[in-house]
Amino acid sequence: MVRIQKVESFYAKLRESATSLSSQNPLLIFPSTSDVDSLCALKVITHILESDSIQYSCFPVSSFLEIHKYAGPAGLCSTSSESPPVTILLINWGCHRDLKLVLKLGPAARVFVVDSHRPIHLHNLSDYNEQVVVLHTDDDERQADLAYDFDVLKLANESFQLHVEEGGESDEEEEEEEDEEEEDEDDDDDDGDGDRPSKRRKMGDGVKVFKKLKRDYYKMGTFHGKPSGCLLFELSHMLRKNTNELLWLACVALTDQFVHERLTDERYQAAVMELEQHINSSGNIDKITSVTLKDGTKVRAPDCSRISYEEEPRLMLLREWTLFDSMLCSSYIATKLKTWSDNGIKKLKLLLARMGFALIECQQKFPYMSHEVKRKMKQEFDRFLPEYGLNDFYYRSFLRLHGYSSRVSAADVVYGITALLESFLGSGGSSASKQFGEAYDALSLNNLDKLRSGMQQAIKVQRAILRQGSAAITKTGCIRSGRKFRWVKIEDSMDAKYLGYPQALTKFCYFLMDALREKGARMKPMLCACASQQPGKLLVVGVCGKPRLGAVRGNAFGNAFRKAAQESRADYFHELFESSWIVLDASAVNSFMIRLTEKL
Amino acid sequence: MYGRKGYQLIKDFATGEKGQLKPFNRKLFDETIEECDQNHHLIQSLIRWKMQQQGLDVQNNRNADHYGALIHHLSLIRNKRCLMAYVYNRAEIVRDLAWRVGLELLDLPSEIQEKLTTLEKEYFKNHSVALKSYMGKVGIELNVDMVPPKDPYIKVRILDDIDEGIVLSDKATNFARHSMHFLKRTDAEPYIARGLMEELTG
Repeated sequence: MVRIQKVESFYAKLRESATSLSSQNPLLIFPSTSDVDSLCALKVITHILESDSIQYSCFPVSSFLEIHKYAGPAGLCSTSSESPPVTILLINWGCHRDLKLVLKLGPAARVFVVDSHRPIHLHNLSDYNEQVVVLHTDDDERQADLAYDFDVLKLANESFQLHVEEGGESDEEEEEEEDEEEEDEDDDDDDGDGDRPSKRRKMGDGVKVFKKLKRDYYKMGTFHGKPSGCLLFELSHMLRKNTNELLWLACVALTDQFVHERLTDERYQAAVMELEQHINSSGNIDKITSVTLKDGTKVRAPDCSRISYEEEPRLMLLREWTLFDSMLCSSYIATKLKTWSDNGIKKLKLLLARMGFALIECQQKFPYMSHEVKRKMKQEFDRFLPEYGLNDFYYRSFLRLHGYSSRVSAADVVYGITALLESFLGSGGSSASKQFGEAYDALSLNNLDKLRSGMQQAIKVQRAILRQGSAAITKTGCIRSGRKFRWVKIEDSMDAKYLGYPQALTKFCYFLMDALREKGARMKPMLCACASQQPGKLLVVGVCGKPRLGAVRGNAFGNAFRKAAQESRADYFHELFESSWIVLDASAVNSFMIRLTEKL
Repeated sequence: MYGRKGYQLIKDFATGEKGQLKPFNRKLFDETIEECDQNHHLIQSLIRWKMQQQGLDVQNNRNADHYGALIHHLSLIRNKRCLMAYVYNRAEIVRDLAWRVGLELLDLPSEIQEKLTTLEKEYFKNHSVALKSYMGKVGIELNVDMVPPKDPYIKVRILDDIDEGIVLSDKATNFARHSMHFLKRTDAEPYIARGLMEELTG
């Protein structure tokens, strides 16, 4: 059974496989280093594994083939059935490619996948592919941002069987090309419908329908399912192993998808409500926050740590920054007021003045800002911001209160941790895994200092986004516009240091799209290229706009990227965990863009 | 002069982190001895030579030089105490290393080995031999952690490349740098002691 629909049975299977007597190896966990969600999910699942005393080894990876460096090809790919079984858990990567093929799994290896990337490769879902076990809950399928109205499981089974019958040797890419050919042929068929009795007809309508469905399935483009952190938190809840700490991780995982615009507002609201219920039921409301000393004085309890939910403003890292700078740089306000221009700054100052906040007060570090401003902030923002078209400035979010003075919001944690994850230098994957370690530490409450340093880094990244974004918007000809998409290349080498990472570049794309919308430009998908951390290489990220409920397709860049890169015959690296991320030779970018225009 | 070098030597020791060794400060150590020698010579000159010159009896005669001699004597004694304290405290750390890190000199991280003098190494070896023979007689391993662990398993992160194959009691895995592992405490402890792994808490 390869698609598991219940989290508990997924875990039961995982545990059974990892603890089987014949296994010489501990459970191997490979979390993705590219998002905070995977970090949260890792922390939750390891907590559960630890309480069951299951030994594991965990190797953070940032691309598909890195796994072989750690697992040793002997264990993964060995073809003899004698070799000791290996159990592998992939966190937040892998399910959109045919894992059995890409990782060259031998019969002894068994892969478990918890991943929020969609669509899931049909071969991974198939019942007959015993070696790959994907967790894809029913709820998740029903609530997905993009819906399809056919039985995926049946489709998956047929697809896999066909694949096996065809020899099963063909490479994944070949298969995709094959699909393409079939598509063309099908078109021909439709044209000459009545004229010639096609041989193909005899293959039966079943196969044809199935091929069409399969094409539809992949053509939807990429999107995201339920955050892995939340999924695994549910598991811990069902196993009665949930703690407040894990609940907070689930909140951060959800906020990660929210901050990086990977889910619709509706789904976010639903998930927030679910988590709020968990927060209420795990005693966060009536926690003792003050103790009375012998002489009757009341003091706040020092070791109190709780989660609360509140309406938060869309101002990034407000608690680490000043109100003025946060408003100046946060994408939400900056793109509306155009704070990079003199006029925009004037508008911003005027707004503050109308709200009755002294400028000098707003430029004070937030912790030292006057209490009155903090108190009046929400009310005044709600009163004046709608005039500027900022209607949903406040959104429901989570806060972690710890000790006397520490108040961190989930969104700020996401910004900080993402910045930590994305501040490795050089080309080696090892430094990415080092940063993963840093981020891992920073996510626990005892290491606020590390988290703070991450937040400071995030501030630098955001400033770079504002600098480069405003430059691209104001300079004509900087953003090149194609028929189906726009694209821009970041030339500044100083800022490339901050922006040459997938998530930072994604934020940059969203910033540009928002800014262009304010200028009245038609909405088009956005591509952005920036020098990556490897010398001579460019990272290209494609963004299709914020996911909307009932949208027809997600991010369509994934397949197009691969094909365009193949055709342009350049060196490319498409093994990152999001198919809309690709690394190219710096010289090949122009020809890549030309091919891409043809593809889309 | 007047015990300053000894003071500096102790200061040098005290500025180091508690329980951590600094390289043996040979220069200051020798200078302290030098200062002791000087003090010794001055006492000699103040008392013996003068007495002999004047043919006086030490017991019955007191003069101003006696006080000078006393000062020299006290600073000499003080310097000697400082020297002893320096050596003694280092020896204590060295003994501690044998208990905590491992009984073989080669088990010690190379940066610690560099800080030991030959004599200290000798001391370490002898102490280890004594300990080993005692533990052999009693039949108890005395150098394990006194506090019983809450959990037989431990979560660690690898800090440095571990080249040699690690022998685990039941499972085999790859200890690449920056990877994290949940394994038996007894397997991990020697590596934690040598600074190749760190325990992850919280």
